Amino acid sequence: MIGLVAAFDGLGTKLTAHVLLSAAALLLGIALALPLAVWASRSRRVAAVALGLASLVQTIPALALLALFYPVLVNLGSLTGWPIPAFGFTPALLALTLYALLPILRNAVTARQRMDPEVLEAADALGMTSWQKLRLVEAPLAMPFIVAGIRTAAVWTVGAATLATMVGQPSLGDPIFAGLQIQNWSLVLVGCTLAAGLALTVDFLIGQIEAGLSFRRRWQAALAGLAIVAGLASCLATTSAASGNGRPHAVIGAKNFSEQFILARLIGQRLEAKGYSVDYRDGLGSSVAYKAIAAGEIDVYVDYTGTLWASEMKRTDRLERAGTLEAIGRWTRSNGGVELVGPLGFENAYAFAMPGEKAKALGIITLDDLARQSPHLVLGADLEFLVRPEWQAVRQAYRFEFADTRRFAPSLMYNALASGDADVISAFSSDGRVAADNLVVLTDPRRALPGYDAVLLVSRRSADNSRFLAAIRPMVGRIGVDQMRQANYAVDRTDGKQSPEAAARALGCATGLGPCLQ
Amino acid sequence: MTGAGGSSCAASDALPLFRVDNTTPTVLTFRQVGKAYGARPVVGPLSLDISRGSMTAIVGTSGAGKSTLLRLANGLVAPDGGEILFEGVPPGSMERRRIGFVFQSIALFPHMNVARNIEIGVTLKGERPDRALVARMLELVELPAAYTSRMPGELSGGQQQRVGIARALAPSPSLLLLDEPFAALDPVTRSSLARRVRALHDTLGLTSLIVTHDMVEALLIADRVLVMARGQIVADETPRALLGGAGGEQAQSLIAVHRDAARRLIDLQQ
Repeated sequence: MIGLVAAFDGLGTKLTAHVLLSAAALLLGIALALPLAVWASRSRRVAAVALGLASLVQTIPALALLALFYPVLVNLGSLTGWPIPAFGFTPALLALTLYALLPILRNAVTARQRMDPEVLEAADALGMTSWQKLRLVEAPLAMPFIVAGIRTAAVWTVGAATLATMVGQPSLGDPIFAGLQIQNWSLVLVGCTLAAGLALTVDFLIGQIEAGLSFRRRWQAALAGLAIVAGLASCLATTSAASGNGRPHAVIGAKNFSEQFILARLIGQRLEAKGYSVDYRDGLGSSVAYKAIAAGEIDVYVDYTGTLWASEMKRTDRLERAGTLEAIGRWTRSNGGVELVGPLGFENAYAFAMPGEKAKALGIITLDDLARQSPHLVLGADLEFLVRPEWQAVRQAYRFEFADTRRFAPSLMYNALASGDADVISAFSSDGRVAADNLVVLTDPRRALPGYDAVLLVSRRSADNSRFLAAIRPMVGRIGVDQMRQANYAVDRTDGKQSPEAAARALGCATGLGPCLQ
Repeated sequence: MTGAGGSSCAASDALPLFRVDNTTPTVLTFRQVGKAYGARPVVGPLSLDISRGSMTAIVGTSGAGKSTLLRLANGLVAPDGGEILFEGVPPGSMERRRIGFVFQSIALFPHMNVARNIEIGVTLKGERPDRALVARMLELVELPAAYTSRMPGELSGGQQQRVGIARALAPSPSLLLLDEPFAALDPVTRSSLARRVRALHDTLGLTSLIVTHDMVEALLIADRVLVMARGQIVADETPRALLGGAGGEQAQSLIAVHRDAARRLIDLQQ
């Protein structure tokens, strides 16, 4: 349970970050929507185009919108040469702003369209200029509708901000996604409850402003406004107080599965022992992680040679292990100055796994055997395997024709195997559940699947820092696949589940990379 | 407001709050003004002079172009051709601040209380409304001073239109335009408010142009009656002349409706 408490430890900062991100997106949304609404009120065509575009944005799932901003900002940065941050706050802010835009814009435009034309004519008849008419008549009449739009936008933004985790921006999505991954439902529940509570609070406060405006109770609107300002101010104060503690700071990245969480914690614990304060960016998309370290937005993370080889370097040929490591090291140094410190010692390769009994009954031992029976079988894969080059390679090598392919969150993939929703899965060789669930890993006689040595990558900035490297370098070659499986299983299993922190501590003790505590 | 206007008002101490410009005899001039919506001609081409101090009624059936004529007068509608001059210049938003307008739909600003609705025109002229302005205006339109802080939604239709008239009069306009101002009101309120408007016209020395579809109303309050049909002025007579049979067939048919009604009422009584 100590590990569980530790997992809740950072919730205050997540909540603060969540509030500030949502508020910034909302304010930017208001700042964009209102002038746009004024312009739209002067031209029917502008109104149609603006509302159409805003509605279009709304139809894009928030997750995809966030993901889209990443390459857009990366390309914009390389095209213009400006240092545009493509990771963390900026893409999250821009995506959420676009999301916040529609309800405000739509309400403002609708309010203007429904305004009594005779009242507007009265403004003209009194000789109001366009600006006076806007300030004295249109704006005050539209205000209750605009506030209602802001209220809707605020609730959406607070909800969608949980997805900012995917682009490396801390938010209440962190505990939700980490909890989903390691099947720690209390973490998920806490994250969801906090996000929902925040949304309800914001809804209530803006609702008070709305009511205060429509019933001319100024004090009510002012009081709610004051509460919102006070909440934001305290969030800002906490953030700026936390950032200035004087210790050296490191940001550790992790992709979205248990092994990555554990290794990130192990690295973090070693850095903390050297006096660092650390932040974790959990749940990064596979392609986001390398770009983030190349841009110096994270300092260190663990990647796998096969992934770097195929996804980043776009290579399809095969070299032996030492040559692969050397080639990748050369490539990372010339692509963002990233230093490959060394392999950790174990492999986490893609491997096809089946329940032992089923494999025996069907007589499947190799991937060739699997290919022969594939038209009658369902393949369960993690969310990205089916679009990865490894899948293309292995499918061509063995000519798989599965009856169906289904995608699962990595941790749920094993449950799918148990429930019969999948017959064979794209498992990971270091996964503790392979042994725990009595799975057999099918052999790869054509050697179509590349090697996946876990390697430590360090950003250009930290590679020059001897204190930093002193904490990282001893990890090279020290973690065996059995030790990693054990740590992974401690987090993934259903009973007696450990937090990634606790598993990292146990792994540190078992490998001599950390202290053994009783 | 010219300097001459200011001094003439100082000379008359009956109503020091009003400064009416008496320097030019013609307030409003239409010269060959035409207006069409698409291919459909709505007004004119027609020419017209409105002399200072007059109360002119424009009468006609629906769609005759009366309301458009009124909106041409203050520039809310731009003419397709011809020339409109208000005190010598084409009316724009600056000129509109010296032209009062009373709407059939009243159109008070629903988010402003009675006082702010009345003061707004004065504020727009860049003047600071004096404290007594609202009270004086409420008195002129016969509303209790306690209504100052009421919202338009809290008033009856007749009370709202009194505020509407006060709003139009507060900036001391050189010209008052009234577009069917009493059409939405009940007959009792209507006739009392019509009499009030005529009284204000006389005491304040206004120049007024009132659109109505009710010939009796026009005959009772105006000095001059223009009859419009299909965008043209088909008769331009005094009420007395119209009652004497002048003005042609269109004008006489409008009067005949009411004569008929009056005769039938007398018949019923007997």
